[in-house]
Amino acid sequence: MKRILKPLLITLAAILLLITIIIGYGLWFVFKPEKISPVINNQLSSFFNCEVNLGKVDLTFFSTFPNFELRVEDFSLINPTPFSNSDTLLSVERLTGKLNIREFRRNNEIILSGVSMTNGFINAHIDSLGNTNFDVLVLDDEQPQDTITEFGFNRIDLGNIDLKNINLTFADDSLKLFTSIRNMDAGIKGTITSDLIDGTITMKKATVSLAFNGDQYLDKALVDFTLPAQIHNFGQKVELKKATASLNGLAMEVSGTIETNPEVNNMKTQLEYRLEKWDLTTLLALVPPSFQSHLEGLEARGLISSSGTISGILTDSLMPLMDITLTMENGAVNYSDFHLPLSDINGDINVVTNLTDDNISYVNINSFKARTPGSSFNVQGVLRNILSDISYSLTTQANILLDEFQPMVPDTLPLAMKGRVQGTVNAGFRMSALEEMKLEEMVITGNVTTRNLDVTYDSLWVKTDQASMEFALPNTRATSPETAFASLNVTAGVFETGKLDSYYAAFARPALTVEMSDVRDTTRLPDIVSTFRMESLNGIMDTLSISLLNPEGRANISPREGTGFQPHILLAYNGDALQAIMGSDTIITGKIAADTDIIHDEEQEDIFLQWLVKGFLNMEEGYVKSSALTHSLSIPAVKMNFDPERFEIQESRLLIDDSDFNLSGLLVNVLSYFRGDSILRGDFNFVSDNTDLLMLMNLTSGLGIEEENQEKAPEITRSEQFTQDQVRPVNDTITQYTGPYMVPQGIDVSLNAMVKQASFGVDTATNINGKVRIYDGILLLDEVTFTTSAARMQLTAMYRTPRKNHLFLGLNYHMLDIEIERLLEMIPDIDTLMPMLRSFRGKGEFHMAVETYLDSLYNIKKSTLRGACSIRGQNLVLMDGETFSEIASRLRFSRRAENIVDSLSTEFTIFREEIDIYPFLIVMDRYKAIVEGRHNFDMSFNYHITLVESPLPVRLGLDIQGDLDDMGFRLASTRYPELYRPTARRAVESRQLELRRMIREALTERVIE
Amino acid sequence: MKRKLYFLSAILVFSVVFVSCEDEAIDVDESLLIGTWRSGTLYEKYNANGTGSTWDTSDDVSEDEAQAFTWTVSGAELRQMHIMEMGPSIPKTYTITELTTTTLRYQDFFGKSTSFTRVN
Repeated sequence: MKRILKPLLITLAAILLLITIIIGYGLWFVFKPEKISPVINNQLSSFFNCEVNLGKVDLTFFSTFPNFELRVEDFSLINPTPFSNSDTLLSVERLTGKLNIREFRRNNEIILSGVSMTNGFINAHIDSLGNTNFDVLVLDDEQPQDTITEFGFNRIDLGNIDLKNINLTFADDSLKLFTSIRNMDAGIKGTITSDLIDGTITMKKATVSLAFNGDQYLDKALVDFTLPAQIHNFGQKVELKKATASLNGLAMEVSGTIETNPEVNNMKTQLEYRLEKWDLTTLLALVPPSFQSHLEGLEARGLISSSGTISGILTDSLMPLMDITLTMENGAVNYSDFHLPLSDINGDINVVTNLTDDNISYVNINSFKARTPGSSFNVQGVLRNILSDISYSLTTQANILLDEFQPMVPDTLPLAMKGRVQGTVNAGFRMSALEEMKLEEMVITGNVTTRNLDVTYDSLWVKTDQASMEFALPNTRATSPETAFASLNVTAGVFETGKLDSYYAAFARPALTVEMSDVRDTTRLPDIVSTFRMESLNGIMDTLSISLLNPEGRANISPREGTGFQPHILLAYNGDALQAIMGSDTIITGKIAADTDIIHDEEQEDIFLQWLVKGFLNMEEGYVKSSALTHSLSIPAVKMNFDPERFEIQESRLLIDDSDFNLSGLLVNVLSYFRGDSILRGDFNFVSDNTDLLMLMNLTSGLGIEEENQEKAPEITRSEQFTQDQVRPVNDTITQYTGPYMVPQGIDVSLNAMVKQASFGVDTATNINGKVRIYDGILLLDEVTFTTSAARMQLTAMYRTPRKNHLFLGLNYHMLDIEIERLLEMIPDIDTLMPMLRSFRGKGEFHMAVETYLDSLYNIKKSTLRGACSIRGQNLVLMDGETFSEIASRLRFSRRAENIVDSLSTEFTIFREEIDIYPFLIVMDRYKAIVEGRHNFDMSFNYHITLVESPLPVRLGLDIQGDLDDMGFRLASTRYPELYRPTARRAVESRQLELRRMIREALTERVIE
Repeated sequence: MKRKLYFLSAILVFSVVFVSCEDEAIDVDESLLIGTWRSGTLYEKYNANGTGSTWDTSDDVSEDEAQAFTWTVSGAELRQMHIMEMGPSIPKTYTITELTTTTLRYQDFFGKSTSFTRVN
């Protein structure tokens, strides 16, 4: 600046000097131009060390007294230098001015008026060595050139110095600076006293070019300015009064003072400025070409305004406080590297800073709005600590069309997004926290709504027609101290999500609230408190599909105490319906209410032990169909409480095929059982109107049996189970049955059964009461009483399964008042054991104990068969038949004898394939006979009949041997002639009777009357 | 009178025909019975304390799964009482017809004979 002012001041001084000289000489020569010009020319050479040319010089004094007026034409200074392109330093076509002689002489004041310079140019040049072409004044050698001389006048009044059409060129080769001002019309007015310069410099119009260091900063820029200023104490204080300037129409107004204090080397400023609606296009056009590359592809328009103050002291360490307001109106930016054009940019930003003190520095964004073709956003807020770690407190309203931003996603990121996101986000954070993602130091809240959202990331995708989301970081309304990190509330219309070739889920009107601890903590599972509610959920994963109607509930997840990654889950669930299908398995329920406490223990190997659950479950209208079950289950109601050790079934109604059950009771040691520490114990009440025992056995077969013991067996039909020994045609097929019923091991479960009707294959019983107990591999029916159409019955049965091909079956069977014909219908196997019963009709009582081992197909292992049976009958009808006729013939039965058996009392034993009938008395008509014998399973037999009382005079014996196809009859000696005559009874007969008595007593001692 | 003669003749004939013959009794050394005997796939084991067990390997039953009985010997009569879990013991009475260190043969009341050889 100093370099530019210097030639200007020198020029001004030269002009003033010239005017003074001319006036002096004018007075002396009485103002004759022809006399004045040579004289002035000669005198000027004393003041200029260069060539000075004057044209016509015209002086007037008397007509303009007290002003002395001078008009000079064609004034020029010629100072050729090797570094300047032109040898003319200054050239003016016309130079005029007036000096008040009276004031000069009387008051030592220079009062000028009408000073003007018209149509000229100034060419100032400094070469790279500092040599100039404007050091043309001849100065006193003793006075240094740069020394400011003492002001020698009381006042100088410049009047209105008017420069018209002046060109100014200034070049400084050392700075590589070139300035060109063309067609300048300027004015200077003011007064100068010893301590004050008060004036105004005006440049009405000029075309300015400026190049610096090879870069063109201004190129024919239109510049005008008005600088009203007061300069005190030769520049120690400068006061501007609404100074205005304009560069290519970009106007600025400045007021204020700048005051320097050399003693403390500081500057005190109090400035105000204002720039109004600068056109951004024009402003960008002022960017030097060398910097244009940075703006390549950038198109911008809009109006920028700014106002502000700069106040305070400027030193090496202090800066004045700047209070700057920036506004932008109707801005638009289109940048080639950013595919989205921005429009409607309107901003109002206030910056306050002294560039040194963070405490008083801030940026206040009153409003900043912008739009893209499909999106818009608005930001308000405050930035503090702008000189160090910027603190943001921003509120952003955005309405974003995600489709627009899809091109911004890197090609390497498999993300595709569509839809609209609208909402408000309030964010408070420091830049350092953002850079290091210190979310715990940020405050971010907001609410966002989406419409037609469709986001795909790799194979994952999410869709929703509309959704609303509220989030808060941190969560100031946390329900627990652990979940104060963040919260999220989401509601949606239809929300769908899935993974390609994996799963799909659709949520109808879901509402989800989530509170969480810091999810970035990689040392532990986060604490999560969540609630959920929706109208429906439908999900598909592989062959599993699940549908829920009106599910709602609560899910809390936290690390199990003492662990980091093993979850403790509190899950409460209520739903109106559930349907789950997995392959051929189906589960359907009505209302479900569950409240569970789930603990995960990953140190356990068994999946059951890894997840310990306690709580309660209420379920209605359930239906289960599983390939693992032979029949589908209908579950009208289930109510149970459970924990890892206890399973309390308050109500469990179950319909299976034609069977119905209501099971209630308590199961304990569940966890201990699965850990192998204890047996499973249960005590239940089992109430049923109808029970199909075979179906129930098939349903529970094999529970608790180790896999290696589950030998494969061919699929058999229910009918095949009975055709091994006897054919009982039952047509339905148990398609899933793969082996014998294996009684669960390690459990002790009792069922207090109350069954109105039960069926076991073709056998049916009613009013069954008794206890069914499963105890560590043993199924025991303990003194179960029931009624059939044939008799009242009592059954104790034991079924034990030590291994699959070695099954123990024991029966203790008592039937009272039974019809023998119905007995054979009910238990056809009795016919095998005692074929003679087929020949009787009538009522009797039947006690039987039999046990055997079975193979895996329920075939009797005959070598293990043991049994005893006692039968009593009165007034039985002996059916006519070939055998009876033959016996009657051989024993000389009377033809009139009725085939009524008055009494029958027999015991027989079964051992392996042998059935030994102990001698028993049969009374018929006038006959009493002792019958004994052996019947073999191959249907061969060996019987003996001793006729002890008859109309015959002798006792006859008859042996019957052979089989049914080849029966041999032979008269024989009587074996038991004295069996029922104690006094004559032989030892053998006594032993036989004793055995019979022992067998019967053992058989009947457990009969419940 | 003639009918009475026929009747007496018949009684005489019956008396001759049906006179029973007692089995020939043998002296049984009970200690020889102690041990395990085999008849085909059928095994019987007699312990000195009067207990015993039987199993048949053709029914896939091993000695560990054998069924128990008690036994007594009286003269040549061998009585086994096969123990049931669900009812009375089942008596089986045999007459020992041969008992040596290697051979056991007995016969039941219906004349069925079974022969065993000692296993150990």
